[in-house]
Amino acid sequence: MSKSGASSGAHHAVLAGFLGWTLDAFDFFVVVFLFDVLARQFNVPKKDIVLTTTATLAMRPVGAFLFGLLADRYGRRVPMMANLIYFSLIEVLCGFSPNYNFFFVMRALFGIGMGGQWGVGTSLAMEAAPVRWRGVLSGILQSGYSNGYLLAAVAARFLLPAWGWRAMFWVGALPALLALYIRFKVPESEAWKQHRVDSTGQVLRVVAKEWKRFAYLVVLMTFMMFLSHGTQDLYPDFLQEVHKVSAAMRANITIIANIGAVIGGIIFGHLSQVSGRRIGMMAAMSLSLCVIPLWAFGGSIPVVILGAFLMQAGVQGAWGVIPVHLNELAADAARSLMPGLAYQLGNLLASPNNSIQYALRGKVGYPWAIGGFAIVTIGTLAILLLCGKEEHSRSFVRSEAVKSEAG
Amino acid sequence: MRRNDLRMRMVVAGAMGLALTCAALDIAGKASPAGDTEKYDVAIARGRAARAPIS
Repeated sequence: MSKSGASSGAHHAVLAGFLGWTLDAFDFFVVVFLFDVLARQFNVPKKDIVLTTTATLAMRPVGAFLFGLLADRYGRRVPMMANLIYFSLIEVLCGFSPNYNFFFVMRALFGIGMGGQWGVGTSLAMEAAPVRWRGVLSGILQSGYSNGYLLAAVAARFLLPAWGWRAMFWVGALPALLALYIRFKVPESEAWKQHRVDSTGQVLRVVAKEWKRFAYLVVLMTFMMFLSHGTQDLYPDFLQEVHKVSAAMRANITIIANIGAVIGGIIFGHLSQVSGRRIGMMAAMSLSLCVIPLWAFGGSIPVVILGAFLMQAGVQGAWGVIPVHLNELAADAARSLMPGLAYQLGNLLASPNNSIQYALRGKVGYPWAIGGFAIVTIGTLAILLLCGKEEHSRSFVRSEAVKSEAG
Repeated sequence: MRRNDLRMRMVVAGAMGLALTCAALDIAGKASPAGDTEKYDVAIARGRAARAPIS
């Protein structure tokens, strides 16, 4: 261990966390790019394929609970490897689906793996990272989701025409190789070793004791989900309806916005290290607030593209702080379970997002439906953050251990 | 520069490089825009959320 509390294999742990979340997102987004193909293959309406993403979403809290509990009881490495192998196997089985029912069940089971990945991966990475690198690396970790989306888009453009839809899922077996990498390169978390408890019951008691903080994290994550999904999900439809943008251009704007997201995550992650977690998040959301006139009310396509880029730079800038903020707020003995479960429950609670925005569209028009929704969401998040706490750069290992290493 | 810092910078650069490479390939490619466009129509029709890029 170094003075900073980081192990010598810290970069391996961070890389594993980033790649785990990236490949997890890739495996999820593969389906999104195959809606039409799968509907034809299984001879079902497209809405039934869309329903499989809802099944995945609904099962994510189950995975966060199971894998989070295991990671807090038995260490980060083994549950992380088990998670990677699990969702890789499910992804391969998706590629062998003989009918829709089988596929639906597989996607629901995939949700358990997907839900488990974030909590375990971020605790592994954040506990290993040098303290002064936490902010930036938090942004990098969270950008794994955008990276997964971009990777899936590449696969859809190049793999799908050449090898067909089944190969898209079989490529999803790659995360299993990451388990080997973890096996041989990633050290077990020192923080977990120091704070480990003797039973899963004890982990649950720790969470129960911290129930107020856990409830706060769930509410915070719910509104963070409203922020991200509220600025993304309906935006292509908004572009089509209001600006008459072509399908190809809409896809390109989504890609450009994702680049903004990755850059924003790194910049505001770093800012959170310098100025504090909540200030970093509020600065990022201030950027989003400022560009709403461009993003929702812009009069030309170049202005809208600039608005989309900056909007997602701000949104993902705030999101990029989330892994480190939640890990620092979590109880030491439940650092996989608390953040992971709060994240996935927030995701589930925010799932009516599209319905709400679409209903608003009918009442106030599309620009105000998405712009007004973003303003209210950002305002609520600012209040939540101001009322909340942060434990910026706190050590995850006991102080005497750090002192002895420093000495 | 300490070795650990250099390694962390490489991780950051790698993640950025991956994103930019994928984006360049996506924008240069001509194939199906399915998914990131059509999914929204379906999601709206059902009045339920199709999960999208971030989170």
